[in-house]
Amino acid sequence: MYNQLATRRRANALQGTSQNSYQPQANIIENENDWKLELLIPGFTKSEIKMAIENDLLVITAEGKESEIKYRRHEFHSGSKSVNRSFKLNDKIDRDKIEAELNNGILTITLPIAEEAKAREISIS
Amino acid sequence: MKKYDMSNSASLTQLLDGFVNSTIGDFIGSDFVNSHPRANVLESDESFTIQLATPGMSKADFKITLEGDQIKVSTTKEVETTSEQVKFTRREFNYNSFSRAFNLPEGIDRKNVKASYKEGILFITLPKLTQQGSSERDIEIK
Repeated sequence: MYNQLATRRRANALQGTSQNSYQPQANIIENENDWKLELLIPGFTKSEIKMAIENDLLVITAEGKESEIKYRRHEFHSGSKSVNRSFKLNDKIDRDKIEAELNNGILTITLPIAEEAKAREISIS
Repeated sequence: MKKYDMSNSASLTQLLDGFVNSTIGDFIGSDFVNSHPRANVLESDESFTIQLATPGMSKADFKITLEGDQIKVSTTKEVETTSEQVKFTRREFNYNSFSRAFNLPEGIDRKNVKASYKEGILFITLPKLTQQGSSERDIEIK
């Protein structure tokens, strides 16, 4: 039941982002009324990050500019500075109310659980 | 109910990747590892720049010290004690504090080392001394 927001690892981006993109690390926190998805994407500005919903997939991509200065050591954003990761959305999530916030390299996406999908107690009359 | 903790395999793989990818014997950096943020080091004619991927911090969390021929970066941020109520369905990273040191190359202008924090990346700029050296600057004859 809790794996419904399972990661979907797609071999190559479906939407033509560069092949060298990497999958950022993610935390998923489950709350009563929403799920929080935290993505680790340091070095990107808000305008470089795109989020889209394609069918049941929440797709997060980011493309940044590479430095033109010579690297002596290259441990992150090596290859290319682009990010691509998708998550499968389950039916409970209210797609119209998904919100995102970027704060110091962490993208926090709030996925609210639709009103009708929330657990509720039914009283016996 | 299944519980997920930080030792899940995904985060371990990521960590191993980090070590494998880091270049051994590279000129600027031998590392003393606690927990290991990834670093880029760039060189231009004027300076070296260290970039450390450290998302989720604030400026005040960092401590940067120049000691001998090393520059050391650490965070003083308290590790968040996650309350029982937070339920991680997936956990691939955490906000643990870290410490990492780099060997400084020769000819760094130590007085003018600068740092800034932007979009989750800590930038440390290490200017190179000019050829003459700041203490031996040519004096213009008027």
